[in-house]
Formats: sequence, C-alpha cells, structure tokens
Amino acid sequence: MRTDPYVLTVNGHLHEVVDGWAGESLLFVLRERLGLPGSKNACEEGECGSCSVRLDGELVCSCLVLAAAAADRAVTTVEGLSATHADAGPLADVQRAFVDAGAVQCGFCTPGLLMAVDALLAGDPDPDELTVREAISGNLCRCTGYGRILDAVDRAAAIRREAVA
Amino acid sequence: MTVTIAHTLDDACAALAADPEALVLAGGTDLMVEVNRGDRSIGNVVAIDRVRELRGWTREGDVLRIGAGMTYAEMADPEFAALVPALAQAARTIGSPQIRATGTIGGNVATASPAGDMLPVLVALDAVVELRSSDGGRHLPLDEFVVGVKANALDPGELITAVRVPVLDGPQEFLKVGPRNAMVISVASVALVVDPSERTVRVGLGSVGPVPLRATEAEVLIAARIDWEGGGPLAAVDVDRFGDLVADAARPIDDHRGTAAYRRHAIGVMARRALVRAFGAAEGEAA
Amino acid sequence: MSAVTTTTVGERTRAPGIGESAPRPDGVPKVTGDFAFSSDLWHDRMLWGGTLRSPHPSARISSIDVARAVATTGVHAVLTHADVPGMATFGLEHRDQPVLAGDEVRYEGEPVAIVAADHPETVRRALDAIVVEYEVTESLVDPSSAEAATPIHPDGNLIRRIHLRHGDPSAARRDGLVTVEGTYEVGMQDQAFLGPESGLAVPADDGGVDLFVATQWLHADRDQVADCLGLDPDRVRVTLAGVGGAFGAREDLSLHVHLCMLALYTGRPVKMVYSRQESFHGHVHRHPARMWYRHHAEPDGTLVRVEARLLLDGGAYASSSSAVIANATCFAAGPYRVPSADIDGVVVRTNNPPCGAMRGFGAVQTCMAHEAQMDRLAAALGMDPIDLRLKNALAPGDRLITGQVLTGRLPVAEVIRTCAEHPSAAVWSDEPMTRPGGAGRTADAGHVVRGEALAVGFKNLMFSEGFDDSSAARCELRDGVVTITSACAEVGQGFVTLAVQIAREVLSVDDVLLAPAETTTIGSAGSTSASRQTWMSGGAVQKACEEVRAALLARVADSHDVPVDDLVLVDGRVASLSGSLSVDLAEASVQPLSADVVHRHAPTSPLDADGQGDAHVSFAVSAHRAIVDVDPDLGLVRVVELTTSQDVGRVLNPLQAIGQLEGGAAQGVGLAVMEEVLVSDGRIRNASFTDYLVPTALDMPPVEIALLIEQPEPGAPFGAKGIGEPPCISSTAAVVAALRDATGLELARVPVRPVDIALGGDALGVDR
Repeated sequence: MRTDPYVLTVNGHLHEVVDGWAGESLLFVLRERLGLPGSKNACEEGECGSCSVRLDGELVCSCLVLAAAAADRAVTTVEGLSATHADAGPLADVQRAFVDAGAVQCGFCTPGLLMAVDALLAGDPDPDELTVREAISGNLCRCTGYGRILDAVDRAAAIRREAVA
Repeated sequence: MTVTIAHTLDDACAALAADPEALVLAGGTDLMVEVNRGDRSIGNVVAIDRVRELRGWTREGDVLRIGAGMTYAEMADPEFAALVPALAQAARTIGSPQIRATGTIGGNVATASPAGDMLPVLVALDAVVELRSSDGGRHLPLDEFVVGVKANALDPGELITAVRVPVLDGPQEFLKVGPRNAMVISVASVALVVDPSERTVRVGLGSVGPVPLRATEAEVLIAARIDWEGGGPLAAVDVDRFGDLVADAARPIDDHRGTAAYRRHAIGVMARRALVRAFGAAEGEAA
Repeated sequence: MSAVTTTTVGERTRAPGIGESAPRPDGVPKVTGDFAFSSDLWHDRMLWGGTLRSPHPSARISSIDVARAVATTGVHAVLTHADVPGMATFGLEHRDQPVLAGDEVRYEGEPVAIVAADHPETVRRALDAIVVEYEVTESLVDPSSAEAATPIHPDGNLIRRIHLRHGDPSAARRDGLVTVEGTYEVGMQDQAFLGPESGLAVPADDGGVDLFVATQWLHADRDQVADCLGLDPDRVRVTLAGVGGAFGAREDLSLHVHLCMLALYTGRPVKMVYSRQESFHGHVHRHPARMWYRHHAEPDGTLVRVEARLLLDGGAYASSSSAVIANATCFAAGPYRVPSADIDGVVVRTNNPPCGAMRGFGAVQTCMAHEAQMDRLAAALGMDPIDLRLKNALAPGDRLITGQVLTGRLPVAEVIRTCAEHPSAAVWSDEPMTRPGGAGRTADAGHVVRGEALAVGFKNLMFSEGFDDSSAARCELRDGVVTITSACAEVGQGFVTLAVQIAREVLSVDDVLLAPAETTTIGSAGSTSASRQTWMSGGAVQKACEEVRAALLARVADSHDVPVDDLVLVDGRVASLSGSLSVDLAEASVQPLSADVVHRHAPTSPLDADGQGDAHVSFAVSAHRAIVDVDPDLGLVRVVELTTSQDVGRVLNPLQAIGQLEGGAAQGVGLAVMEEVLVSDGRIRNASFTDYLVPTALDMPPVEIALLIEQPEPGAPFGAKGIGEPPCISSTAAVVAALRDATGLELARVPVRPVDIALGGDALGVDR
C-alpha cells in the first residue's frame, strides 16, 4: 500500500519520496530509498540507538519515526555530521575523536553514538562522566565496553571547547 | 495511505472523524515498534506531534493541566518537576534519551500498558484524562480510562488532549525496579504522593496488575498514623505494616521479567522506602 | 587509506608499527557512515528475501502449501527443502542440520521455507501466506534426560562425551583431606552482535553465485554453501561484507544457502536482513551448563584431586558442540596444578535452541564453577582465597589435567598478584544515580552493601585436538606500496590494523593497502575465533612480508653487487650497513615482488580415551577483581569497578588491546547479572533487546588494567598471544564472587537475578 508522495529534508537536502510504502520508518527510507545507510538497523524497536538521528535537533530513534510523518522536519544523519561541524579536515570533531580514541571496533554502534555525543555536546560542553553515561545510555555497544567511547567524548569536548575559545 | 500531519486540534479531530480507523501517531515509541515487527498493519495515519494545543502544560490554580503531547524529556524542566516531582522522576526512568525525546504522556496513557511508567503516578494523583473528538469533549478519571491490559476507553474518533493532576504541597516519590540501570521495562514500581492539606497519602502501583493499582488500605492506615500536626516521626511498626498492606494490594503475575513473589516483595520494600523518604526515619522497634 | 597518523621518532616520521597504537584503517569510513556493512549492501534489480520458521520446538511436517504465497503479487520465489539443489544438510563439525526442514523440525525457529519478493512488506505477506501443517510432537527439553531419551536425530542425542581421567584415581581416598562440593549453572548467553545477519547474493553468468556476507570464516562458508548448492567451490565466491560484531555467532551458516538459492532461482540479486527477533532464532547461542564439582585438598591448601560432571545443552544441532565440551573439560579445573582429576564432560542434543561458539567457548562456564569451588575451598580451609590460588597456580613446566606439559609461558601467579595488588579507584558516591537501581532511584545510601572478589581463568588459544589449522596470506610490493591479501574476517577486533602494522614493521613502508577478503583471490585464513587470528593470520602476513623482504634485498644485492647480509630496510629505503648504498624502495620495486604463504602452528594431538594428549598449542590466563554494590532487599546490583591483568605475550597495539579487554569484560558483566536467553519448553521468551539485556553505559564500570603481562610466547609471531577471549572468562566469575562477598549468599547460578538475592531463592531447577 503506497503512501502519498512526501518530501524529506535530510542533511540540508530535499528528497522527494514518491514510491513509499505504508509503515516505512524513517530509518528504512534513509537506508533503502535515499542512499544514506549510515544510520543502522540493529533492533528496529528503539532499544539500541544504532538508528539515532537528529530531528529538528532532537536525538531520536529513526526506526520509531514514520517517514511520511517526518516531512517538513529537518533530519540530520551521521552523513551530515562533517557538514555541520566542518573544522580543520573533513571529519567532525566527534568523528575525529572516535577514531583517535580507539572507540571504533566493529563500528555498527558508531553512527548512532556519534549523533548522541554530538547532541550531548551541543547542550553541555563539559559534561561529567555520569552525564555522559546517561546521555549514551540509549546506545548499545557490544564490542568496546564503553571505555574508549567515554575517552572519545572527553577528547571531542576538549576539541570543541578549544575551537570555541 | 495518507498521513495527515495535523497542526491544530480541530484538524486532528476532523481527520479522525473522516476515518475513525486511522492510527493516531504522536511519538511513535509504542506504535512504530508494532509496525516494524509486522504486528500492526498500517492504514491512514493522523500525526499529532505538531498539534499546538497538545504541547506544554499550564497551571490553573491547584490543577496542573499537562498537554497530551508533552514528552518525557520536557518533564525534566525544573519548574514542571517542582510541581509534580513523582511524574518527573517517572519520566526520567523511561527508555533512553532518544525515547524520552519523542515519547509522550498521552501515548503512555493511551497505550495503557501494565508497565506504563506514568500510570502509577497518575493513579496516585487521581488524574483526570481529557478527551476530544469532533463531536465534543469529555473527561474520565484515569482509572476509568485505563480499563485493562492495553485497553482504554477511547471512543472511535477520540483523542487524549490533556491529563489533569492536582498540584500538591507535599513530598512525592517514585521508585522503579528493573534488572538493568537504564532502558528497562518496569518489573514493579511504587508512586507515593502526600497531600498535607487533605492529610492523605496516596500510593500507586505499577507492573503488578493488569492496570495501575491503588493501595487504599495502606493509605488509610498510614494517614491515621502520621503526626500531621506535630511532624513527629513515624513508628517503625507502622512503616512495616504500611509496606505489608501495600504489598497485599499488588496483584502480580509470574512472567519472563519477574516472579509474582519477587514483585510483591519489591513493592513492599519500595513502599517502605518511599514512606521513609517522605516522612523521615522511623523510630522504635520494627514488628 | 586516507590521512595516515604518524609518529615522530628522532628526526624521522613514520607510520605506527608493531607495539604502537596505530589507528584502524577502516576507522574513517566507520565514523562517516560510508563503511558498508552486510546490511547496507544494495544492488540494482535486487529482491528481498525472507525466511519462514517453525513455531514449534518439535513437530513433524505433514504438508507445506506455498500456492497462495507464490500467487502473491510481487513474489518471485517460494522455496522449500525440495528445492535444495545439492546436499540437504550443513554443519561445522557434523553436517547434521537441514538447509530447510523437510519431514520435521527440531527447534523453534528452524527454517522451513524461503521467499524472494520486491519489498520486505511483500516478503512478510508471502511468509504469512505459506501454510505448513505441523503435527506437534513431544519436545525433549531437559538435557539431563537427553542421553536416555528416544533420539530426536539420526545422529543420536549424545553429541559428545569426553571423560578425562588424569593421575592417580585413588588420590583422594585418604584421611585428612578437606573436600568441598557444589553444583553450578550457567544460563544461555547470546552473542547479541549489533549488525543483524544479512547479505547479498548475486547470480553469475557461469551458473555460480557471488555471496557478500558478514561471517567469521569465508572458506568454510563457501565449502558448505557449494555442497548445498551442488556447485564446485570455485563457482561460489564469498566476499566479506562489513561485519557488525560476531563473538562466535557467525561461525555457522545462517542465511547463506538460502540467499544463494533464491538468487539462483530468480536470476536476480537477493538481499536478506534478519530482524533482531529473528536473529535470536537465527544463530547459535552459548551452551547453558550444569556442573557438579568436588575438590579435595590438603589442609595447607594444596589441591589433590578435582572431580566434575559437566552437562552442556547443545540444542537441536551439533554446530561446534564437540569442540566446546572438549574445551570445557580440558579447562574445567582452572589454571591450577591438579595432580588427579576425573572430569566427565557431556554435550547433548535437545529440542532447545542450537548452541555453538561464543567467545570463551566452554571455558566461561567452567571458570564460573571452578572459581566458586576455589572460594568454597578457601572458606573451608580458613585460607585467604588469593593465597589458595597462588599456592596452586600453574607455571611453565607443570602438567595440565590433560597430561600436556606447559612448554610455553603462563604467568598465572603474576596475573593474580598484579590484579590483586592494583590499587582500587572505587569510591562511595553520594549521587543516587550511581547506586543499584540507577534512574529507578530505589536505594538510599544505607540500603547498599559492597562486595569484592577476584577470579582467574585460562583457556587455549587456537584450535586443538590435532586440527590442521592454517592461514594463507599474500604480500605484494610494487612501486613502494605494499598490498596484503588475506581472507581473515575482520569482525571489529582490529586484524586489519594489525596486518598494516606488520607490513610496515617488516618492510619499513608507510603505505599498506589491504585487498578485500574474498575466497577467489586467496586461500583460507581460518576462523576468526579461538583468539587465533593474530597468531595465524598475523603470522601468515608476517611470513609473506618477510619473504618479500628477502626477495627484495636479494634483488638489490644482486643488482648492486653487494653482499645481501650488508643490506637493511629502513625508512622506505634499502641501505647498506657498510657503504653508501641507498635505494628507494619504490625504485627497487618497480618490478613487483610477491609472496604467498600458508602459515601453520605446531601440530597438536588428539585427546585419547582418557582425555589425555598434547591437544593445545598455547594458553592464556587472565584475572579480574570485581567490586560490586548490592541492594540486598531488592536484589539490584551495580558493578562499580573491574580490574584486570592478562597474559598477552606481547602488546602489538595498546589501544586495540585495551578495547578487547574492556569489551570482553562487558560481556562477562552481562552474563553475571543480566544476560540470558530464557527458554521454556523449547521456546525463547525474550527474543528482543527489550528483554535480552546487555550492559548499557550506565551498567558498565570502568575497567582498570592492572597489567598487560608481556612474556613473549615461543612460536608465536612477535611473541604475541591472542587476547580476545580471556577478558570474558574470569570477569563473570569475579562479579558473581563479589556478589557472594556482598550478600553472603551461595549464588550458584549466573546470571544472578534480583530475585536470587532478594529472596535468596532456589536458583536451580526453576523453570524459566
């Protein structure tokens, strides 16, 4: 059963979806229709955070967003991170930090975590450890045990504070 | 399949009147899980997350009117939290930051899950649910709205527009047990609200019955034992008895998340702790 | 290979080599979202695949009617067992598992039919339209009755028994010994990798198929798939797609044959992605175990004899159960000197979900038990538990209970001491969120007690019992650029980083490319499991690079008429030690050089009828100290701190090593307090991340690394031991021991649930 056509704004670009099916989540549309597979599909029930995107700046699970209902909202995915925070080089500060800190192993949780950390630092430039843990408590990682991820957040926060200073 | 993105309550009600079978979509944190799993086929949808009248909250005297579209994340607002601390505390325990950003009180009430974390607090506050359709409005006490496991009293074409709770000038507590420190479905929960002006203590229980429960016998007992005038301490025997009565009010089942025995036990423990937090350490020997 | 991070040494700058924290070569694409995981694949004209699974743990299939499904608009194929072109069964050790169920199903979730259609929603409708008539039969779900029960499979219900007898059987028949006994249970853990089972199969013009899939062992997949498709192996080309974690769950086939069948039948590319719920049914789990133990010791703590009976539930199909029970049995007594042992290890077949490889592979289960026994023994002796362990700690030259003498390194005492003596950073916090219960705010400070304990565990590295394991690799040098080809499956552990570091180290180059891992271009690298890839594939890469190095130096020696012994490779140049010769590597390799090697480890022997034999190549030991906070009235737990020491041989990449130790510890914490696939009557009750709980960032404590003990292992490339498994072996045992310390309860079962603490309940024998 097809939906009426709708337009999504993703990472600043307009995408018209003309052949959407009823019930398709934003995650599905990003990955399978818009060629943006950066957001991941580890559970599709809001329990892992691997699909996290920013919707009008808010961190949400894109698997729980009905794509057609996200029309006229600004969607930001991991593919749009470097564009929003272009500093020296092609990677955003959070991306650079994750690579440098050894916070990436299999990498499946990484895009969702990057979105969560970017959202956290946008609101709190110097979060303490407990605040960071709570902010990423909706993002499961099975490989790292979160240790290097916490270190990456510290690094990213430092990079960002320095950039602002 | 049409998705109507409503911006006003009138739009939403009109869309629902046109197709009473249409699914009402707010935060999607319950509905979309079912859709993704294939457990719910989807026809027309009325998206209400942008309906202006459903956002935010207002205080009207001693009544707090909470828009059905208020999200759990928004409940962290200190001004709101100060007016209804137990509800803010419950909101903080729900899901993850992602879930809290879009999940709404209206959705929690409409889904009417036995484990819905807003519900034990709302039932303790004797909350009233405001409903609206294109035919008009009505309201129901929460315990008449949540009628069974995932069953509510919505008529076709009807929407929840707000939840009304009293503003009370006393301590409130919400405790919730889960086997992990984040992102847990409640195994058992207790909400306790004190109304010094009426000299009542009200206790709501979650995840230990098909619907949220009140522990009325315990409430009556403890209200009579509290030194409302002098503010003296509770007696340990009373705290214990209170906990037992609250546990007795629970109607838990065994399931994969916990046994009935554990749930009942946990309810008693949490009830005692909530009472002590509200009124201070008890004195004397326990039973 | 973008932006290579360099380190400056003296006046030179070079890319990081062995021993340094080189960044992952795939790190940048993984953070930009460009890295292609198996579920990200897309192909023009691709169809979607799906699987119909049995709702019953045990049933006969009377009929399968696909007519309505076939007639559904948008459906391109509906296939059943009759459509399997080649061998009807597959399997890692025994080919006992049907590609698609024919006459009967033996576990809930067993695949019965497969569909290809134009959209996942069409797939779902087609699956709903298939009518299977089942005659439900009584399921065998109690492993303790499996051996005696009517066979549920032609191969019988006993998958393997290994009865290990070591030393003098009458050693404990004398007075004056202290004896302790206990029965322990480990629940069924799931690997719970984040990347769902997924892949893409593309039919080829030669009648073969190209399979892009996330897996742990490309060539084992290829061979099984080829047999089931009735094709020559060279017609089945397996390419590694990005892997979202594995931990043992991708060692067996899942959707591989199904995808290829659908692609070949429809003539179109087919993609399949399992949902999380399906994933729980779609791969093997860790074997649940029931273990009875009896330890005998002298009054001074010297171990005299260990007896044990181990029962592992293998579920419906054999997978790698034979190897798992061997491991559990060989390491059942722990890293201690045990002169006399009788260990009866059994793994049986039931109608429960199939079990197989999971990180730790049998040693996780027995470590929980032997460490509980050691604590029990220490209490009975009135001895400090750490002293008891040190007193009996294995050391090189000692004999294991398999009779094998330790010829390599195994610093058991050092691992224990350094872990135990490492200062703790744990404090008491006023913050309510840090108490057990977290955001649930269930505990005040006075409701919490703290416990602490240490546990040790060890296991083998690499495959055992005479298995002829090998890994192939190729090194090519052209114009100063090295290309490494290996079919080693990168699953997140960081082999790709290591391969680059090795090439840099041996050939003194910065630019190293990694060719894609595929079966067509290179031989098998073996499985990414058993903590073997550093030794095996790292060794293969090292050898191949060394051969190229030798050939390069020989070439330069020859062309410049200098003795080859006078030449060295340094900073991308071939230089002579004595003279002034200096040839740029790029210049010297305009004519390409290449070497192909197959690397093997020293041979091992089978275990004889008494479980004796030199069955293992090498071993690694680790210790964890856990500090936990408990709310005893509610039974809620917070792990406050983990400290660990591990025997690593040599640290090849410090940051990656830390990542393995932290990540493995998280899986150990999960098994200790929250992870279990709940099975009742053969049915999984919690097939979702809502109710199969893995630790979040609020559940995981910091992991303090006391010491990475570097005692280079003889025979190991660079002296380095595999490090992936030990972190999840002693961590579970340490956490549950700390819970015992806090609560005084026996806690004989993991995962420990709140009810087990709050109601001190009967944790064994309760139906879950």
